[in-house]
Amino acid sequence: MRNKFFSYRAVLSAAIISGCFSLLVGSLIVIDFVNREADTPVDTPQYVALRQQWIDDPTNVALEEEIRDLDLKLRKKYFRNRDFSRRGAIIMLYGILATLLFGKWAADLKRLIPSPTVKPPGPDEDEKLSRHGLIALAALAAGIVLVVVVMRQKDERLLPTTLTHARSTTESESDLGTAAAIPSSRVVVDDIPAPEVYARSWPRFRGPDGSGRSIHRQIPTHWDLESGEHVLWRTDLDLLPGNGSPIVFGEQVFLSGADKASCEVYCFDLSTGQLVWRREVEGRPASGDVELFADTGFAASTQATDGRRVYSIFADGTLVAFDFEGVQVWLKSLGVPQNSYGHASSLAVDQGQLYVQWDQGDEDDDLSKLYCFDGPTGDLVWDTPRPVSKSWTTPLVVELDSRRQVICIADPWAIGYAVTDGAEIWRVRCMEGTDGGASPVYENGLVFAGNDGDDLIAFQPTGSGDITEEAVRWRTDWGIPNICSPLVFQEWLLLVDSFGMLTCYDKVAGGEALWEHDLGTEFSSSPSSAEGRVYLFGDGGQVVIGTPAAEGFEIVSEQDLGERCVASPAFQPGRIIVRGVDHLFCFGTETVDEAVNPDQAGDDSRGGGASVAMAAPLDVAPLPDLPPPETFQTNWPSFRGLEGNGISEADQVVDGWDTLDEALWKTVIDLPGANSPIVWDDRLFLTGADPDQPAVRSVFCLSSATGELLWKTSIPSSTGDQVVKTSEATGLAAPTMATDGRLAYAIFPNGDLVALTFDGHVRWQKTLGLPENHYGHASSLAIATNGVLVVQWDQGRAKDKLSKLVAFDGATGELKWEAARDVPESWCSPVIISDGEKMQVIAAGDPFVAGYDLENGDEIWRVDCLKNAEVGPTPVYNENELFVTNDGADLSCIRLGGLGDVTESNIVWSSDWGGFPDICSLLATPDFVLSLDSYGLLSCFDRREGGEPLWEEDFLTDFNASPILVGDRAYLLGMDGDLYVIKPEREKCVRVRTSKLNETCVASPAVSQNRLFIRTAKHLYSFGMKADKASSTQRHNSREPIPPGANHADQSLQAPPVAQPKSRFLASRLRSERGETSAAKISSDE
Amino acid sequence: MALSLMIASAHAEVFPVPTFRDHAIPTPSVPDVDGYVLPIIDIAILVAALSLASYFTLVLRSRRYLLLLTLASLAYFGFYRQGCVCPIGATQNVALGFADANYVVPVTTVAFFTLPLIFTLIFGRTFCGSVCPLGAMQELVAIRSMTLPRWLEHSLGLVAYIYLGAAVIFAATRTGFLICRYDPFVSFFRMDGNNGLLVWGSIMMALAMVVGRPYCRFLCPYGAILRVLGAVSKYKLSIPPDTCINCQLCEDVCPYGAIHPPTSEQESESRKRGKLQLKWSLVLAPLIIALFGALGWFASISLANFHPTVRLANQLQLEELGVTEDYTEESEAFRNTGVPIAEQQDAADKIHHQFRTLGIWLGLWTGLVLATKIVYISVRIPRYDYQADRSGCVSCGRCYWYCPVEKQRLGLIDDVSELVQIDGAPRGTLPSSKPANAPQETSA
Repeated sequence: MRNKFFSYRAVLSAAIISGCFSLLVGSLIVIDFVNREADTPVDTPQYVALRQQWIDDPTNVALEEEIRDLDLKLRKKYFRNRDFSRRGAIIMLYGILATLLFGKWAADLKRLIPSPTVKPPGPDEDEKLSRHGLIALAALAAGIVLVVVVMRQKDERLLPTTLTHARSTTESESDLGTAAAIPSSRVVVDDIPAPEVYARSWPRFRGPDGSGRSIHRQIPTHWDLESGEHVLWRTDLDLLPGNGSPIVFGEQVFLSGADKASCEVYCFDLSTGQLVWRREVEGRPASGDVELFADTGFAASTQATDGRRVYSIFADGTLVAFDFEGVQVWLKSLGVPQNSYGHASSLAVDQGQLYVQWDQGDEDDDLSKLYCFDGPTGDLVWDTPRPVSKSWTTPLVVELDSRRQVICIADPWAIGYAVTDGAEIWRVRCMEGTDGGASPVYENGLVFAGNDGDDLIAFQPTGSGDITEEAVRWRTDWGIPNICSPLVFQEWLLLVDSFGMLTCYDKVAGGEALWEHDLGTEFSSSPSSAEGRVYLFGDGGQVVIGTPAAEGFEIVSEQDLGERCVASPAFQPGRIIVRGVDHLFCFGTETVDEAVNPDQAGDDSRGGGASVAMAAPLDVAPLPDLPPPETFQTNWPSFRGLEGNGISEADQVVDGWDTLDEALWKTVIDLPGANSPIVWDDRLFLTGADPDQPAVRSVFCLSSATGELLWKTSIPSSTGDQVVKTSEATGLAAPTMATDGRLAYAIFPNGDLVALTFDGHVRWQKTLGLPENHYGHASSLAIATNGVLVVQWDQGRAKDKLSKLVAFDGATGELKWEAARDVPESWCSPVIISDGEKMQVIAAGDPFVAGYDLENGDEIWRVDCLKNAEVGPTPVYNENELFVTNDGADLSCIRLGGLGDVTESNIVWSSDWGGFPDICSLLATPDFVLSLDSYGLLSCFDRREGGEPLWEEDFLTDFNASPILVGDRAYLLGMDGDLYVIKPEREKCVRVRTSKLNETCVASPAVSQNRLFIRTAKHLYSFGMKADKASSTQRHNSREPIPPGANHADQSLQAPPVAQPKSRFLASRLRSERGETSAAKISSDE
Repeated sequence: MALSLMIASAHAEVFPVPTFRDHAIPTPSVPDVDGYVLPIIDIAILVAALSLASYFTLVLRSRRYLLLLTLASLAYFGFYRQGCVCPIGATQNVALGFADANYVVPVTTVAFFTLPLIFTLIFGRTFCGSVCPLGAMQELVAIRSMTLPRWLEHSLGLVAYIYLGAAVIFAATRTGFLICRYDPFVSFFRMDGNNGLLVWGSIMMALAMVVGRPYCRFLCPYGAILRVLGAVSKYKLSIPPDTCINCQLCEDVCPYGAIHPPTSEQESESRKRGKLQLKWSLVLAPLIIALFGALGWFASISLANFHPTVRLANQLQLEELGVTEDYTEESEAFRNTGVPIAEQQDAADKIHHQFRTLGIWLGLWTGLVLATKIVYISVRIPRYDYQADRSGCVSCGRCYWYCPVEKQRLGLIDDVSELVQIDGAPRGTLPSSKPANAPQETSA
């Protein structure tokens, strides 16, 4: 019985049963686990949902109780489950043990003797061990070595070799004190150089704005490496390899180089080319297996500098900042990117912030990011995920839609991010399925982005969300590069593909390629331009310098570096710095025009003008408060006076002269300009520009009392010597300046906008980009009494959607708002008026005139009355009525008021009498409207009687200057220099007096302090009462001229008494600006 | 099964304490010490187990008793004492005790470390055979063990020595108790542990079913010491109680490859080659040691990175570099202390320096082990019958069970020819119990 009970079969059955039991228990544990709702009680969906409800409604006591009960219930359930699993596991283990024991027992009961095989003759086991053992031990040794090497690669020492650096970094961070405690959203900007200094340097890939365009002059077009002609220096690059382009700031040229083992940053002397310092990045974490293309290398990205530190990034994600002395300031590691060619996106710096486009992996990998670091400290300001795949493009920083944006492109999106927090503003689909290598460029409201494999598109980066449908202006699939970035040159977009085909497009219209030019070599370097020439560096060292035109590409010269070159050049005054694989070259001349000499970088009166937005103020004394609104009326702060209607409040202005000796003074203005003078107290401002030297324009400041030239500041052009399209009449200094009594503002036909202090220093400077305008930008500036500066930036065709109204804070240059306008190019100026409630900007253009809220740019109303007209005359506002006209359109009188399109309701009257002006603005008196066309025909319309034409008077001469009204007399200034003073009456035109200047006159006269100021082709005249008479007016024109350099505070002390406004409408405007209510207005009117 | 165990141990997951009730969060407390009694009992049981194991191995030569002892040891040292203290882990305490004068090694630990060594020195590796709970786990699951080639056995066996060197260095520098951290069976003993450890233990268990005692043979650092001591033990296990009939049965049943067949006559050419190999082995030995010393220096940074101080400093550095945005609990705790990061980096730097020396020592040790093995396999020691490798034999007693001579001695068979033919080919089933008419056992 006993033997039977413990028979082999019984024991084996017991083993099988216990095995099955263990399996069953194990399965139950797994099934129980799978059926659980969540890993932990707090992950249960029901609990999570209730918690969310409670977060939304924290005062809900009943809900709170419900959650408590559920929490308890879930926890009990959880621990029950856990106990179940634990007990199950113990039972299972015992089951397994039983299985093993019974199994062994069973085996023991039926144990078979092994059946050893007969050992074959030959070497015995020891000999085999002796032979094979050696190989096995060698394999083991190799395995140990391999493990150590892998460990070493993965576990590179993270700490710096010497801890001195780490301590110094920590100390320096702690030294920052409050800076370290500043929330990450706030950016610490230390004393970074002034924007214009930055604009004149070459601080990042393709220059300050990433466009590849240089503002510098005297750039060489040929050199000879053998004779040394125009070779300033050539430095051996016996350093670590790198493909990044040189960047330049002041006297320093920076490069980076790296291999798998180390990363280095180099600083060279710009004057001599000598290596000033060479620093290896310390404390760099292990690079691991960096995936990269051999041609890309470990240092493919171009560095960037903010003028105080140079920032470098390497293929393994090492991001490092060195100061200009070569001290490592901070170090970050972004980790090794998943990028098959290796990381090659260059860095961008803007206003103390460093931007890193960190694209990697595929679109769906969620690996790509845009980082923003605080330059001085390296603190992360923000980062934002990017829904794109790996790329090698470089970000741009531009100011658009009232805010600064970082524009990044990669497959499949171009995206604009707010610099403040990295929030996405807009996105445009582009570069789909491509290896994005060509970086975007921005020019005058258009971004050009594309890569071989998909279309290149020109799009307008405005709006929000996916704006692909409405933003893309044109696209092309021909000649698209995959490495070299595009170049905007004058009105063309130039593309260079890797095989050396140079393709030209109309940058605005796009369409078919205008021409192609085979450069005959391969290209990796992006094209650049300087002094109206394009510089192209081929991979083999061939250099092609040429001039693109509408017809084709004209080669100026062909040079040779004598070695391979894949980096893009850097430009400085008179110099071009090029990185070859073996040498760093500097070509140029020792003698450099001081106007663009980097030694003058600190001279802010020579503010640079690259198309970077440069809104940061210079480190100058604080501005005084804005003068009271009344003082705007007593001065002549903008084109045709404060409201742009040409009406002066003066009452003692001379009506002419017999001889020019009667002029109070006459001053030579040595640069031509079509702009009118503006006057504030004792200062008179105007601009001038030599058409033969487009690179420099000047702002003049004269004493309005004596005509003495107080100062003259040269403003370098952001477009360098590039020819700007203008007409002969408008020239390079057509728009009239504006002033708010603290700063004088000037705009030039190429879009450069500058603010100068009253002692001639540049306060800020920026550019709106080169406008699409047949005659060049000629619209004058408008200034509001609250210091808001308005630019009417109409250009191109209406369908191009390039036109806009732009408002800046005059003091800082910060963009306040932009308002898009569906109008083509125009030359009329905006006017700022008050309707008693709020201040409006009124701007005309084909086909409408509209009023915009000065606060935010919102369009308030519009009237369609200017169809098919390239509007030249500025709208005239007077006594709640607006008068607009243009050659080819009617003369319309519009009543202000209403919202939206008020064409039907607000046109008081319109006249199609004809002969309306295309240049000169209207003049509105209380009873008449005067229209002066370019041929000298003055037409008078009855303002009160529906615009009935009353009379015409032909002055038989051409007119460009707009008439002004002083009292009841109109001043008409002909191009031949004759001044006609007339008194319009209902029946006829009474000619009061005609005076001659005998010089060409195109600028409108200005009146201030009872003085008449007239600009001729070469002079500025002032006419007025003699001093004894003028003194009785209690104006200040008798005081001594203000010497140059006198500050504004002194002037304020001597400011004339504030005149009371005579116009009731002006009074209402002043009340509006003071913030008084309409009730107060009624009271005042009463 | 492993999955089930992982699920069962999943309560290691941490989740927030209740937030809506007055939940009393348990205060962390130091577990009660065992007092004096339990350690003494532990030591006494260990001594008893070792004595019994030696007795069963050398005197009774009983596989069955050894198995029972194995089960008992597994139950007590494994599941009851949850694998701690064990002589394997005690190696680290002793190493730390030598390295750090402030560290007092408990008597129990010293006893657990030294007693098996003493017993091994006298009786061979009887501890491994039936006292060690880790060995017991593997012994019990060894269902069908394959025989590994000796060259593989000898090479993989060196890993245990390298592991021993690393474990000693890590323990001495307070880097961590590697042996305990990667004990594959402790999670089974405790019914606890992280998933990684459970998977590691499951892999080792599964491997042990087809490869005899993989942990003991190729990884166990304590086993590495015992192997050396076992080779010079006073008493040694003899497979046949009498003259070996070279039936080859024992070699085939030993799952640990610890029984070596008799050597054959070597040809003169082979002898020459062997001598040349030995000569070169002796010449190259110092070079190998030096090379591995250099390799140890090269590996020192990686070794140092295991140290918690260095790990924390590295983590802080990564956080400072921006490589990682998330703080770990350690780094957050450190930052809360207000201690400057530089201090932590200083401490880490010292440890880096320390490891530079220790890395060289570990390299030299590895080189020495390799060089010794190269010399060892180059030396030929003639054998005239089947012999247990004294260093490799874990005294499991399997060979007794199969040895026809032993069966004959026990009276289970009358003549060895009942089990094996004259030409050595076995036949029949193995008698496992003594016949009623069998004579009484006399002596070992």
